[in-house]
Formats: sequence, C-alpha cells, structure tokens
Amino acid sequence: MNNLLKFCIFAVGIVLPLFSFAQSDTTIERNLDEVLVKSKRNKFSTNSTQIITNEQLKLISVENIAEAVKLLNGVNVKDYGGIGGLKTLSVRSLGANHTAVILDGIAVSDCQSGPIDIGRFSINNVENIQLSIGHNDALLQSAKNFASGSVLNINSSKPVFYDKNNKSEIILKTGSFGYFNSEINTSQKLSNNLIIKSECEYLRADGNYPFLLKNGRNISTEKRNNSDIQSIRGQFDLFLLDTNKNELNVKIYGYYSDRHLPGAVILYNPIAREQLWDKNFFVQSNFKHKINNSLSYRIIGKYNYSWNKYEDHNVKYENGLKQDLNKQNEFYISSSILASLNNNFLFSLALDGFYNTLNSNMLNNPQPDRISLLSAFNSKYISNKFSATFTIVGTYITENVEFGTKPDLIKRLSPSFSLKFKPFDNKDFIIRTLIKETFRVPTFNELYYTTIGSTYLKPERAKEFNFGLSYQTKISNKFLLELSTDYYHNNVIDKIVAIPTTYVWKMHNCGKVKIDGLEINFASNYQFFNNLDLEFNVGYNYQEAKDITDKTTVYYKHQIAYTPKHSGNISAILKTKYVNLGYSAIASGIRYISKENMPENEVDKYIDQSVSISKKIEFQKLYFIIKFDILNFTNKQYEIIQYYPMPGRQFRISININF
Amino acid sequence: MKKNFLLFAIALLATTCVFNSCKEDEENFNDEGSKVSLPDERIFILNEGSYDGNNSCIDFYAPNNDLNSENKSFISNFNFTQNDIKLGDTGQDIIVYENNIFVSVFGSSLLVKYNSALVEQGRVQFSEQDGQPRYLTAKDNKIYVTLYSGKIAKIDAKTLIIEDYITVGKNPEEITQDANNLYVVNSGWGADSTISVVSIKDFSTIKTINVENNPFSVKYSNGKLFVLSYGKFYDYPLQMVDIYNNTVETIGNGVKIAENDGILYVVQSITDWATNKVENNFYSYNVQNNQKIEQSFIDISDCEEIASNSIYMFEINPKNGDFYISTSDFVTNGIVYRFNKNGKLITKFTSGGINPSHAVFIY
Repeated sequence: MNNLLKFCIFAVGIVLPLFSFAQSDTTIERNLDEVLVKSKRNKFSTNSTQIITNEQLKLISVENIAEAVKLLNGVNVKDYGGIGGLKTLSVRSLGANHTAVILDGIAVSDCQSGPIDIGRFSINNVENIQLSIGHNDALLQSAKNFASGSVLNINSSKPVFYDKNNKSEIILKTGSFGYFNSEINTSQKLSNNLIIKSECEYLRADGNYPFLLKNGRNISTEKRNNSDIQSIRGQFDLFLLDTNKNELNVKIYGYYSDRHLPGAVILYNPIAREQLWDKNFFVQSNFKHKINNSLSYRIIGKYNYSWNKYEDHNVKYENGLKQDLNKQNEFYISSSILASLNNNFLFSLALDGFYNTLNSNMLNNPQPDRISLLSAFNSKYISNKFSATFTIVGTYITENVEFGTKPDLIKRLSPSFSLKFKPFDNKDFIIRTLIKETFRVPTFNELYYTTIGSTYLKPERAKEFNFGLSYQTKISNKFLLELSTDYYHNNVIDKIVAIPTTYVWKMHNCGKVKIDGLEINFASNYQFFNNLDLEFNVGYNYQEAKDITDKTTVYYKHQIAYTPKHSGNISAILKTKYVNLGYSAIASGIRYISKENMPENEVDKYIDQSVSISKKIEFQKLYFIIKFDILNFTNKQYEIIQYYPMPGRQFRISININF
Repeated sequence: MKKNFLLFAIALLATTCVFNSCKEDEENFNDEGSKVSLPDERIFILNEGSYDGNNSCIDFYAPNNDLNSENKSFISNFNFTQNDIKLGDTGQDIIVYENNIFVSVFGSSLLVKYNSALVEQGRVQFSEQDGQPRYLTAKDNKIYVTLYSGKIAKIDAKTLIIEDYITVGKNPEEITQDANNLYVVNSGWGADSTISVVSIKDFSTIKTINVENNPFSVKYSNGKLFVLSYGKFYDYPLQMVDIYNNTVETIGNGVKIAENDGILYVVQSITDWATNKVENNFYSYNVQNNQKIEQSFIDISDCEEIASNSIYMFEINPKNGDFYISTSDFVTNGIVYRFNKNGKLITKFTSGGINPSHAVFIY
C-alpha cells in the first residue's frame, strides 16, 4: 500500500466524523442502546459486566489502571512489580491476548507484542473502568468490541460545568521510593456544545524498593535496582455535544517514557542494565449521530504511531550493546449503524478496517504489514422479561512481508449468543447466559521474531460459556444489597506456545486449556446516618484452568502457570461528614510458575491491603482534595511473577486543587 | 531447641570424624562438612534449571546403589542438602579436578568450588567486564573458564584467584585440552566460527582454525579435535579437525558428542520443523581407524521414547564406559538413562531438576 492511500484512509477516518457532524439534523431523541448501559449503577449490569466507578477510583488507593483492574473479579493481572514493571491482564484464564482494551470507544492495540501494558494508563481523568465478558452490551460499537473474549473499557470523564465556562485542576502526588506525579488540566466551554480540554502529566519513580530474599540459610533484605521510570503525557480533547443527539470526541495523545528494567532477581548477580524507551502518539475521532428515534450511527477514525527502543549492556553482545528498535503504525476506521425495527427489535452492523505496519531492526525481520477487515452484525430482541442477542463477527486478515514466507489468509466467522431473563416483574432478579466463540491472531513477534517466530501459526481459538444470576434488592431506604454469581466454562484451543525442539524454541499452535470457574460478587450500600455511608464490595473467584494438551505428559490436567485457583478482592468506602475512608484488599491463593504442579514450582499466596483517607476542603472558589494512602500496609512480601518481588509498604500523599 | 541442636552438632561431628578416618587410608577424598556419608563411587549431575529461575541444582547419584549402606542411590538438589543455599541461575558446566568439583553458573556469574562431598570450599564472582562464565577445563592446578567477554580466565584451583586472562574469539563456549594446548570454540552466537588454540605454558594464542559457523562443542581424541557447530542453517555439522595441519573435515551431523577410549560417540537429532517431531540416532566414530559405525551404540528397545525427545546430557563414565543420557522437555524435571558399555539399559530415573546437562564421576 502506498503512502498516498494510507494518507487517504487516515484523512477520511478523521475528517468524515467532522463532516458528518456538520450535516446532522436537530431532532432530540434518546439512544435506545445507551440506556441499557447507563442505567446500571455499578458492578451488576445485566450482562456479565463489572464496573469500577469514579468514586471508587477516587477514594480507594489506586494510582493507575492496573491497580484498579486488580479489583475486578476474574481478572489476573500479570504484574512484574514497581511502577515501570509490565502489567497485562488476562480474564478468566483465556490469556492476555483475548482481552480488547478500549479507550473512549476506540481500541488500543499492539500488533507486535499483543497484550497492552495497562500500567501505562493514568487514572487521573478516568470516569470509570468497565470489564465485560464476551463483549460490551451496547450495540453501537466498533466491530473490534465484539471480536474478543472480553473487553476492558476505559472511559474518560467529560468536563461538567456548573456556573462558569472554564475550570482547571492541578494534581500533585508524591510517595515512597521517589514517586512523584503531577498533572495540570484545564477545560474550556467555548459554546453551549463545544468543550475543549487539555491535560499534561509528568510521572517519575525510582522504584528502588526493598524486598526480602530467601535463599536457604541466607535471608537478606535486598533492593530492586535499575527500576526507575520517567514519563510525560500530553492530551488534548475536543467534545461536541449537540443536546444528546450528536456526540463528537476528538482526542490527540502523546506519551513518552524512559525506564530501566530491573529484570528477574538473579541470585548472587544483581547487575541489571536493561533500558526501554517508549513513544506513542495518536489522534482519534469518535462521532455518534442519531438520525431519528430508530436510526443512529457511529464513525471512528484513528491514527496511531508507536516507537520503542530497548537496550541492554553486557559484554556478551557485539560491542557490548544490544539494541532493538521497533516502529509501528496503525490506521483504523470503523463505522457502525444501529436500527430499531420497533420497540423490541434492534439491529446493528459494524465495519472496521485496520492497516498495521511494523518496522524493526531485529535480525531477519521481514517488516510485515497487516490489513484486517472486521465486520460485526448484531440482532437483539428486548421485552420486559427477555433480552436475546445474536452476534456474528466476520474477520479477514492478510499480511505482506518484504521477504520470506507470509502466513495464510485468515477468514473466519465467530458467532455468539446471549440471553437474559427477568422472571419477576417486581424483582431485580436476572438470569443470564452467554455462548461465544472468538479467536486471537498471532502477533508479529510470534510470527516473525528471529528464530522463535513461526509463520505457520494459525489463530488461537477461545470458546466461552457463562451462566449467571444476579439479584438486587432494597432492604430499606438506607440499605441496598446486590448479589451475583456466574459459572463459566472456557476452552482455549490451538493455544500459541513456545516449544523447544533440538534446543531451538519455536512458536506452535499446540496448547489446549479447559477452564471451569465460579465467580461471586457481593455489594452493599448502607447509610447509617445522613452523613455516614458505607459502600462495600467483595468478589471471590474459583477457577480450574487445566492443561489438557497431552495425556502422556506429567502435567496433564495440571493448573496452568500463574493462575490461582482462589482469588478475591474487597473494597470498602466509608463516607463521613469529615473525611472519607477507603480500604481495599487483593488476595490470591498459590500459583505455579510452570506447567508442572509440584511444590518447587509454587509461588506463595498473598493478601495485599491498602487504606486511604481523604478530605475535600472548599475555600472560596477553590476546592482541594487531600488524600493519604498506605499501600500494602501489612508490608506483605510477595510475588506475582516469580523473582519479580512486589513492593512492600508504601506511603502516598496527593492533593488536587480545583479552580 | 538449643539442646537438640547441640546434640545434632555433636552427632554430625562424630559421624564426619568416623567417616573421614575410615576414608583416609584408601582415598584422597575430602568429605569434610558432609551431612551424609557417601559411598566411594559417586556421580554428580548438574541440572541447568530454567531461564531466570534460580533453580539450577546438583543431584547425587550412587551407581552401585550403596548410599547410606542401603539400597538407595539418589539425592536430588544435593548442593542444597549440603550447603543450605541454592546454586544459582543456570548452572553451565561441572568438572572434577583432583577430587574437587568446580561448577560455572552462567546467570549468577559464578564459579563455585566444592569438595568431594559437594560442600562448598569457595567461589569466584565474575565482574561485568569479565562477562558471564561458560565452560571449564583444568590442568596443573589451574582452572580455565571461558567467559562471554571473549576471554579465558586462568584461576588457581586452590586459592581461587584469577591470575590471568587471554582474549580469544567472540562468545567462547566449550574448552578442552591436550598435553600442551587449550582448545576453545568461539560461537559469537553465529558471528564467529573459529577455534582458538592457546598454549598452556605461556598462556598465549598460537593460532585460530576456521570451522563451520557458530561452533558450540569441542572434544579431544587421539590428536584430533571434534567440533559441533550449529551451522548457518541449524544442520549441526560434526567436524574433525587435524590440529597439526589445520584441516577440517565434516564427518556427519550431531547435537551431542562424548569421547571414551578412542571412540567418539555422537547423538544426531533430525527435526521436522513442520510437525515438530524429532528423531535421534546414536552412532559412533572410531578415531584410530577413521571408521564411522552407523550401528546404534545403545539398545533403545526398552526406552523407545529416548529417540523422540530432546537429548540434553551425554556423558560417559570413564571408569566403566557407562553412558548417561538425559532427555528434557525444558519444563519438567529431566529423565536420566544409564546404559552400560555394551548399550544395554541399566536404569532410568527422574532428575532432581530441569534440563540435566552434565555429570561428573568420582571413584
């Protein structure tokens, strides 16, 4: 594809939404679809969806998306420790590549390495985080939303103005191990329906936290070294809101980070010299328009550029240096349309097109590019008691390489079906079920990375089944209770794994995993007095994720690596007249570092608890929020990934100044 | 508690004294500090462990099943039993020299010295400039270690002081010797393809010999060197090098070689990359009369799986010609097969760690 064509796609993607906005008419109608999502207050949506609300984000000790996502049930965050450590999420043991991460309606992707590092995203301007099993309930979405095993939506907050036309916020945070984070953002209401917002954020941390190293008779306190990070983020947003009829958000985003990587703790050898730089720039545009009561559409356009450089210094490399350079481009457009036949029938169709390129200095990298076309057709029936949705996603993917073999074309259809039933008119009791078949495509690294990559790879398939109940009741005016439970059964087939043959590791489609799990969520809200309010959430997850690849191996039917059978979380917020208190806990049972479930491979169970206290102070036209956190206050020494110790007790203090 | 400990200490001291006194007359063993009484014939198996796993370990194996005068033969992770600390990350090589055991630990950048009962005697920590250690050989009270900085370090076997370095090629791997010279293969991870010949007397490079790309293994037999390279296309050429004439002749393919009594034994692995299936052949080469013996030197009728798994260790007990061959799936503890000189399977057992790679024999 030549540059001109690329530019055209890009230009159309960005400009078309703007153009469409100008064309819109003025009828004021509700979007049928949006109502379904927004009516749900928190974790208990009709679909198997969990939400972390803005209030939780503000009052509990979480500072980035990864810390917040750990409070979602059924999610396993692979965390290499520290602020700069890689953090990816896997939902219900499907593997990190089966979760789509969607930022303000538009997918974030990394065709080279696959999973998104969610530790990178700031929480400062996030309205809520929503995890949906299968896909997000809303129908007017990009096809990408329907094409994964689960979807993590990160939704930014839109500025709200009360009595003035501009507002600003300064956020300052500091804490243990050289942590410092500052942000300034300012929003301007240019007219009744035009708002602009700009944000600028800086973050640094030394990350040189102590940890306990046990080695037989030697027990010593060591420090993580070479683990500092610095990053800068700048963002500009434009919102056009035409009285609920049209919605446009244009976002320009730039990010730069420079971090050192401490690597695994290696006995007797503390030397670590790895360093990683990241640059990311994107511009995205998301436009929604309601033509009339029964017809609306959405157009999305995005251009994404990401660059990273990795360096390691060691005399074992030629000239003592290993340097990897990678550049990726993505051009993405999506259009979708939602139509309602009558009050009961809804249809939607979404078409997405991606063009991805990778430029790499790695040996034998064929500089691949990939064209992906996705389409998703949804039909939904809604009545008072029932809701049934049938979705089918069609995928067509083709790749080009400068030399060597290229992988086969991918042409697939993946269906899914979900059903909700509300048997009693006067009770908030819901029975829900979901069946879904999806797959994920091999990443560029899996296909082309030096000798490990294999262009024979096929997509890795996942089958999901979910059956759940949820019940919500108001015991009194002051006491709200919610309970939900889901049983799930997943299969991962043709799992992409690295297998060694004659001392050379290569990627193959030869893993099979069977997952059975049970998820229980409990939430309550109790108002003791007018100014004393307790919100309490507990989640527990049991899962057996068994390797069923090969009957002859010793690890047949063993729990797959780094997957706890038992995990859970608690979050509680106590709001009083004077201060707000937050408590959160993340707990996990033992895990195994490798395929064989033997004692030598065990990683200890842990519970990581944090508390926070915050207060809002108003002072004339200013208001401040001051917050103090103690993270991991019991100073629990634990690891999520073996030999990547997690930080112990940490203190943080933050102040938000709003004016 | 304290009393118990004291009793235990006395008991331990007593056993070691008794043990040492009865050893003194017959063998030159130093078993001081051992927590276990060991038989005279001993085999130590080095398990490399997994990447970044800090799980390298050394197992003890008694070939005559006479451990503790019972019918036991095996103690896994024996270095931990004896020393109560871990070996480290990625044990690379193990040698025995004058009844002491020397182990290079690649990830941990260490050389550890043990006595004949695997009780630690001292260690060398390599610096960043030295680079991480690879393979070992010993001669005249010196230990020679190949280092990934492209050097060989000369270390006193008693004091463990690094006395000298010599620069060879890129990423040197295995090292061997004859009476006068050291021979080291330089892999450069594919960017080198040489053997450096180093004089032991004045510790200087005499010459370099070109071989196939990316050599990783070298053995000496009867005035010849046998070298395995990955080769440009991962076809593992086996080359015979004439040290005097610098001539190199490819005589076959192989992934592992071992030498005993003038015969070179070769494990050849043929991989079908599309199906990921491996087929191993076990052939030998008579160095005296330059004859290749295609007939398998082991009888695999009782362990057919050995032909289709990755071979990780290939050692020969110089005392009796027993073959010790391990297979690895790189994930679970490896399997060690022991065959006698005639190729008959004597026993097989599960190793105490992942990737059992080398063994040393003390008798």
